[in-house]
Amino acid sequence: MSIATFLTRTRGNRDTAQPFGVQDFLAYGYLVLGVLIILVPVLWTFFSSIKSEVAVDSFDTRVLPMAQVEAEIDGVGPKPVWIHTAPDGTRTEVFKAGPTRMMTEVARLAAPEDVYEVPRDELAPKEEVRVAVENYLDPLLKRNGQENFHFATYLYNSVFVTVAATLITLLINAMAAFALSKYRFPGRLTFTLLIVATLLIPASIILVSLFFVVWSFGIFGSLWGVIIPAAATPTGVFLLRQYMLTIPDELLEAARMDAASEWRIFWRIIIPLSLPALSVLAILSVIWRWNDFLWPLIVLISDPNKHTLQLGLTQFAGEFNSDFHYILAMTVVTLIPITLVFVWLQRFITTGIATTGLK
Amino acid sequence: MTHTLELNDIRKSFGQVDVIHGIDLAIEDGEFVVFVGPSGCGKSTLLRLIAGLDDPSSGDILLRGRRVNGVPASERGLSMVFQSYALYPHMSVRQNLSFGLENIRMPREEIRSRVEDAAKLLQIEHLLDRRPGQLSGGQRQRVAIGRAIVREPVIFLFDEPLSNLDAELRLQMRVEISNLHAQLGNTMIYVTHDQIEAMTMADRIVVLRGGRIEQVGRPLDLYNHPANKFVAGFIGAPQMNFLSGTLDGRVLTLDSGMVRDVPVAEPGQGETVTLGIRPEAVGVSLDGHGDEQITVENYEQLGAVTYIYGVFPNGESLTVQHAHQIPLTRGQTIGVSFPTEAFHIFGGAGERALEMQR
Repeated sequence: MSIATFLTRTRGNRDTAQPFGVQDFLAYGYLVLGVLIILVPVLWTFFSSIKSEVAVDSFDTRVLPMAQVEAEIDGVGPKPVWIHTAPDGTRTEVFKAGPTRMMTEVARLAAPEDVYEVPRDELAPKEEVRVAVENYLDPLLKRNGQENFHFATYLYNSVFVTVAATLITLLINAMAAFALSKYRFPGRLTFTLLIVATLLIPASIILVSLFFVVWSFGIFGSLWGVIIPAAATPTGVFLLRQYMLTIPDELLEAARMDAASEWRIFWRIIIPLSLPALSVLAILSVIWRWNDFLWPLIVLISDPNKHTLQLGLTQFAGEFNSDFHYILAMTVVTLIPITLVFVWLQRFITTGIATTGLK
Repeated sequence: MTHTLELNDIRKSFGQVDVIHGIDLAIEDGEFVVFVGPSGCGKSTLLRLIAGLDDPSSGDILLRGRRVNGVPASERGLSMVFQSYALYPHMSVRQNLSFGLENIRMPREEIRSRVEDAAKLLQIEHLLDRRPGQLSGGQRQRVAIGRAIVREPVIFLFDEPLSNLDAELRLQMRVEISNLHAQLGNTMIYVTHDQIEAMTMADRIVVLRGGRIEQVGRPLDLYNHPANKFVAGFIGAPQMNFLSGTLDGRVLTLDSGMVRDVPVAEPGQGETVTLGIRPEAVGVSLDGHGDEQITVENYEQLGAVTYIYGVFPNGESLTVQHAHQIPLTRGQTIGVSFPTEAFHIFGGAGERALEMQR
């Protein structure tokens, strides 16, 4: 059976199966396109991050990390190795003994004293596949003049902001959603709509007023200035409220008959039964807080010890020169924790749904 | 003496809609009271008012003489079995049973022993570590009852607990709940729309219609002396036969033709009345003799009893329950006889039963 036959098989037996048609083709095409749109930038970032500085700066578009070989030349020092291809096809390994011109002075590796001239276009770099681990190690170990990138501090700040903001977000949003979904009071729909309506206001519009609020509370310049304004999210309240509406009221009434206080109902009934929605919100919140840039930049810019990872990355981008190989490498590093969080939390989304055992 | 539960002129309305129109009722300690009525009669609402899950619009609820209006459900010390069982799906059976006891801060040891006693009583010991999702309908029902038992409540409230079970299991659970009542001796209030459940389990039945009490009494009193046509039709299966006629003095003339002297306490003035007679009180003669003749439209031979569905020449229908097997064919004419002592006569458009001199 050919691969094409195998891939275009459809459900059912010989008599009932529908042939693989245009619809299937379009559906799979659409899905593959979606995968590519999401996956290619991430993979591109990763493969670029292990390329040498020269390759990144020269916009080398090959997937594999190719780097020019260097050789130690007696009496000269380390030099990049070039391959000279003569018109008759003979190939010689050489190094440049002078500046690159139309006719460039080169010498063979074995005989560094014997300088001769060759046309520039007959020279090609000798390359090998080499993973540029220094992109990662230099900033992490503060080598090669990268002393200003305090990875541990940034990581701590990022983790602290993300964890604290997510926990507070979950608690506050869950309490708001509980009240809006399970208590009957005049105006509960109005409140819900008001909260959801704030989704229509872009963050940049309230930036200045938010600045004044944070400043007047005295948390400007501290990590709490990033955490607290982000704690209440309309998306979270709406998401949790819609989920909690599906929890039967009879469960709450049964708990009330069981002498449970409203606080206990919240912790022992509502929270465990909302775990699937809570983990969705947790993932969203972690991603939001981890990737947040603009607001932390405003609040924390003045104190380098309070920078998060995303702010730390800006150090490599200067006014005249950007170290893209470091930016790419550190971007990959900052992606790792959030990926792990997603892998760990996503199973709650699916398993949580299975526990609704009510008839 | 103070009653376990007393309802004084309870009214409840949801917005513009009045659901309960003034109910007075007193329930004694240890009684098994069944609220029965068609759907929408307010029986579940009344139960929720007693439980404290809703507040009455007016009127007083007294628990052991203490007014409990406004006291939240969690502080009334009652327990309730819900129609959907409402077991906590994320807790094991053991946790389901202990949740209520943990809430009142009972010592761990006592919780343990109470849960185990209840589990033994209901034969669910082997299920204690399972989740509700892994139980069958009947097992969930037992767990729901167990959750009510461990609290040792002043009153058990049951809200149509058997309506999700199949017929066989329903019969079994009916017997078990009755036994449980005999064993525990607690006051129980049970809501159902099924008159058989009411007849078999109740010490006292409360028949409700449209948010009003139609009649309160012991099952057989309701069966033998229904206060009105509604109760007469609701209690008993197959339903009581209703034949229209007129009462002039002490003479009842049925529309189908029969004329009979009836011992009513108050002579009639020629008004329209309804004669009620239970299917099993009607006599049958295959050779056509009797007070009236009916044409057999349909019949059901169940072995022990035979149900005959017939019509009078004037189109009124009659159901007869005969305690023996008899040969029948459709379209056959048979004689039926009505013993006067089995008569129920309802006047005032069926709103009240006329008193008889017996």
